[in-house]
Amino acid sequence: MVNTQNNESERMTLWQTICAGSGTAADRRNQKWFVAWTFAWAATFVVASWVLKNHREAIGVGGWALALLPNIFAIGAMLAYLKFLRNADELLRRIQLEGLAIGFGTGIIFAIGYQLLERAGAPTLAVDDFMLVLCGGWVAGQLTATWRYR
Amino acid sequence: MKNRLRVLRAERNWTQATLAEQLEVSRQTMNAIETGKYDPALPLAFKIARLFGMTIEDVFDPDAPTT
Repeated sequence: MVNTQNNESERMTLWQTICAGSGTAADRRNQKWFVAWTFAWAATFVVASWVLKNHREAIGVGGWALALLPNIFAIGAMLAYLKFLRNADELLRRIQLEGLAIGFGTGIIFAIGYQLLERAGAPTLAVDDFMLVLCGGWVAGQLTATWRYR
Repeated sequence: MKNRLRVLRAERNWTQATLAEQLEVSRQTMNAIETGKYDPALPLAFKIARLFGMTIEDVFDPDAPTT
């Protein structure tokens, strides 16, 4: 009789899946590039934001260049994500697609729905808050899709 | 879609990781296909069938419901 278990559990737990890392070695390498560009974007954004807030007069017109500098890393992150997505393992691509759909959907619903709440008296939110909801939805979407296909 | 992947793999004493490596996909993908949670795209289905020296119909059964 054939042992179909083959010393492996039939179903991977979510934790096993996360620890093993979704995708192939190439996917993880591409993912690292995306993360690196994203961190560079965040770091330059924080530095530029601090400098513009505290030393704007001292740097003069260089402030415009500094304000635009984080976008270079943002574009790098976007291109790295596109490369990751195009070359991704097909299940990983589906997981990412579901994550993006849930993230985008959550962001749009929240952004439009909150306008009515503001009219009803809720406090006014900044664009950053909507971005947080969108990114939270993206992560939640990836986790639920990973759970579904575990 | 139901498939015979688990049996075919076990007959050759391959682990999911071994099979995934040969097919250049992740172990998660292999696991999802085996359990019928995910149906592979045509190129991967052909790759799987060729690896076992069979036709796609021998490995995958579109008429049988997934359990």
